[in-house]
Amino acid sequence: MTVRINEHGWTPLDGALPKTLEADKVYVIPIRTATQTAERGKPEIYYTDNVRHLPKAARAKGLPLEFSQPEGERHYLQEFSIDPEMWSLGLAMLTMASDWLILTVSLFISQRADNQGWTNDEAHELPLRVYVAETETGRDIEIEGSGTDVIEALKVLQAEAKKRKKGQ
Amino acid sequence: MTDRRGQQFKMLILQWGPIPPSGGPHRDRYLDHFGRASLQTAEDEYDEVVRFLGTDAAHMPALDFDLVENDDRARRAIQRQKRAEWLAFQSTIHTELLDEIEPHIRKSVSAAMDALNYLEDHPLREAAHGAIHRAAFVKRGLFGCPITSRDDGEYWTDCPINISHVRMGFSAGLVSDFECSICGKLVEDCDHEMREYYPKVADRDSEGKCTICNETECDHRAGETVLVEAWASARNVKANEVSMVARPRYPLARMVEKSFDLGRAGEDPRVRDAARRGVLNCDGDLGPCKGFNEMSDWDVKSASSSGEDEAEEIDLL
Repeated sequence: MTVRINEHGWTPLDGALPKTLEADKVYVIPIRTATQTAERGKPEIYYTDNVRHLPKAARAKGLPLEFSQPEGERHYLQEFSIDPEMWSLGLAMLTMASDWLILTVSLFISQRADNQGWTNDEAHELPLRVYVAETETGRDIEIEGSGTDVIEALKVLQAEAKKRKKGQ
Repeated sequence: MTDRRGQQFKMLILQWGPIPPSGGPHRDRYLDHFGRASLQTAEDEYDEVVRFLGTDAAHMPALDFDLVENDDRARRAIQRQKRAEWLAFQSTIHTELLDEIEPHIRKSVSAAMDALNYLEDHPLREAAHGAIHRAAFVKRGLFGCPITSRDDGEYWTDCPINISHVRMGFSAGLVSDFECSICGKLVEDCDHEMREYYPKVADRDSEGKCTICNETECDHRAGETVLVEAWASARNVKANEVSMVARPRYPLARMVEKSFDLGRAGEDPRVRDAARRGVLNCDGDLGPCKGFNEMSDWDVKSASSSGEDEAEEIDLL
């Protein structure tokens, strides 16, 4: 599988980013809107149901991962067709140089393995789409490929961000 | 009836209990387990019908045709032939015996339909297909397959052949919170791992229900500590939409009844009267089908054997 990196095809939904963003944290952001509220003004934004337990699993492992939306304002969309083969994850962070980015994506893949009965290796070969909003630079990146390829691409982007940081 | 409202459905959308696995090996095992169990139930119940019939079973009309026939005339000819055979056979069976048989053959039909819904992408798919035809053939032969007329002016059918051959399911889009069964917080905000066991102190809620088992009458004593499995309980469920999908997450989230277009014949008072009295029957169960409609073109009207409704039903009268 090859990886596709798109810097111009996606922007975070209105209101999806955290109101205040801490430098050393990664935030899970909602990537879905309701289909029926368009005429009633600002559409509601939703997390997909498969990220509901992700920050909790991260907490257990000491990862600084949080929801971008505060408690009481988070809504999860559950859809009951069989699972789309492509799982999607939206993340926001100050800089892609964050050491937690790749661990977060790896944890998301592991959760899929647990939920659906795959081995970790099998889960890494399933298609994955990760949206990353880097707030420091305003770059919004969409990465799509197998889990393994997405992680490899993130490593490259992370290395670039670290280089950029050193050059500043 | 000049007011045509298009095809209407009644459907099952969600079921009580745990949510079926969404995909992967867990889902494959889930479908295999429940599919085989349903197929077994369909067979057991059918065998029970044969056992009740005893020696008469040998004279029962035979399902001796290929299950799939694309030629409409050939299909219709088989239906007519089998209907005549069943009428002759049914007249030899006592009402008391029919009463004993009925729940078993209905259960067989319904279990076979469930089996297909679980096994539609499984090597046993054709076995489930055959089980539906076999059970529906007997059910129609002995008890009919009524097309009913409702106050809304529509004719409706739950014909197992018509319904099961439209390979379409339903997916609800819900927005809901999930509460931890141990601490009552939202599952994403507490630290309990779902499916793990934790000690919990038994108590009674404001409705007098036990906080351990949710029953009003049980053996749990207030103050007693019990090891309880953590699970997520849905609350504040809001329905966003319902979609037609090829493969629903709840395998049994399917159409259960659909409107039936009789064309001009449906406007005939005699036809409507027959439908109201429960004597207007569909013959789809008595012969071959046209194969499955996989809904690849989403043409609901091309569902198996529903294309020639008018001709079929005039013949029935």
